[in-house]
Amino acid sequence: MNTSLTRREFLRISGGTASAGLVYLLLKPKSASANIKPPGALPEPDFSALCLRCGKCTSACEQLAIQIDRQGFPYIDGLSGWCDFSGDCVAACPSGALEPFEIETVKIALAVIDRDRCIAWNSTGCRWCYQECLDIQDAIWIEPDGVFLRPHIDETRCNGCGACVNICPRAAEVGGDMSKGKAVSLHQIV
Amino acid sequence: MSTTISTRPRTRPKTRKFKFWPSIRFVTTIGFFLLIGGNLWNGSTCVVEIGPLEIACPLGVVQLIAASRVIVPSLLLAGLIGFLLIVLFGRAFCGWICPGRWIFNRGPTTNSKPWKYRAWAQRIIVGGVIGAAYVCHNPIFCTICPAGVVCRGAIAAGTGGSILPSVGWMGALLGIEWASGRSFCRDLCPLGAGISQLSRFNPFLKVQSNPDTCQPCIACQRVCPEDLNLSMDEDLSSCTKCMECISACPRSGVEIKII
Repeated sequence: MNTSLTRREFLRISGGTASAGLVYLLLKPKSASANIKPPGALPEPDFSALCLRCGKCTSACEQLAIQIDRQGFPYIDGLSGWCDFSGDCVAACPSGALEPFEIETVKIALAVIDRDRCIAWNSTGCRWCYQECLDIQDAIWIEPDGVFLRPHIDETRCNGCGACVNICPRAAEVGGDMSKGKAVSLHQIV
Repeated sequence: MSTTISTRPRTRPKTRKFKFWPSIRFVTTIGFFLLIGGNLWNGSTCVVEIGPLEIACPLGVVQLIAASRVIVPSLLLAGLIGFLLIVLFGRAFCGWICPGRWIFNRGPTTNSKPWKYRAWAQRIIVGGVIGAAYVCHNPIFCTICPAGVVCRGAIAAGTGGSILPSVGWMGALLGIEWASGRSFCRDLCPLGAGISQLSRFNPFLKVQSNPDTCQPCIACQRVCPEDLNLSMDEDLSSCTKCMECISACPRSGVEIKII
């Protein structure tokens, strides 16, 4: 079989293949925790139509809570910082994709404890998320179970700020990948 | 023991000449991204807030209006200020601020001729991008815009995020450039095409050949990243004001016309 492929054609084909692979990797569905938008975000079809991907909310947030995902949208996962609902991102948004919100009623996500991974559910001693949440939202309560103290999340009070994710010490035990190590993570409210 | 000293002259003298215009343009680009990443200027090339002034990317604003069918007055005003800057400086954004100028057009396959009907090709690219935003309810080009991608990388680096998405998108764009065999900035970039079309309203700071000294040649065309020839081309709306032609002209026959 006679295949005549010049150097230029080979380079072009390899360049096209590489870019197609990269675009696939970048547009792959995100993990659930990377879909949590900053407070005041419009519901989904309107948000992606109005968000300019300018990153102003990210640089405006003094808590460093907002990160930029692969498609340029902002999200909150609590790993780099937690949301204090100061409204800096809403004030910075130039297009109105983030709208002013009521600080008492706003909920951006729901924290869920992974009981297989949580130190307090498997052994005893850790109360970091409980103590962190006590001053902020008081949404984590401790249930005594014999000598153990098990943390629970009050779904009516939790507003998804991510402070418990940020403080959870479980991360250190799973290599360097913070997102896979935490025993509590933010989930979208459905 | 005799030592022989090689007397063969160097074929290429190793004097690295200081290039004025590329150096100053590179410093401008790096400085802009340091200001963005360091959060001294709040924003990115999409929308930047410099003191009381808010400047927005006109292509982004038009895409946003097409995608959301909503007109935000403050953003429209910022977009008009961006348009005013294009009237004042033409396509200088591409040559002086956009990092794509330093990244693209270095592949081995990118030495083809520009589009035959360049103005119409630019209009089709811009119209396609705005139409795609209208159809998909999503300003799609903003996701892969090279200037925006690098800005988001700078912001992520400044706030402790990951720059891998930005590196990935720039790699994907480089791959598209390789596969197409065209210069991305000259032939493919919708942002550059849009600014080129708006640059028709720009009367200031234009390069022109001095008819007394210019003897038509291709010295300016060879260095021009937009493949323009000052002695032959009438339409200079694609000029990025990179000033390469000034230092390239052997008769110093290129001058900057202020108005």
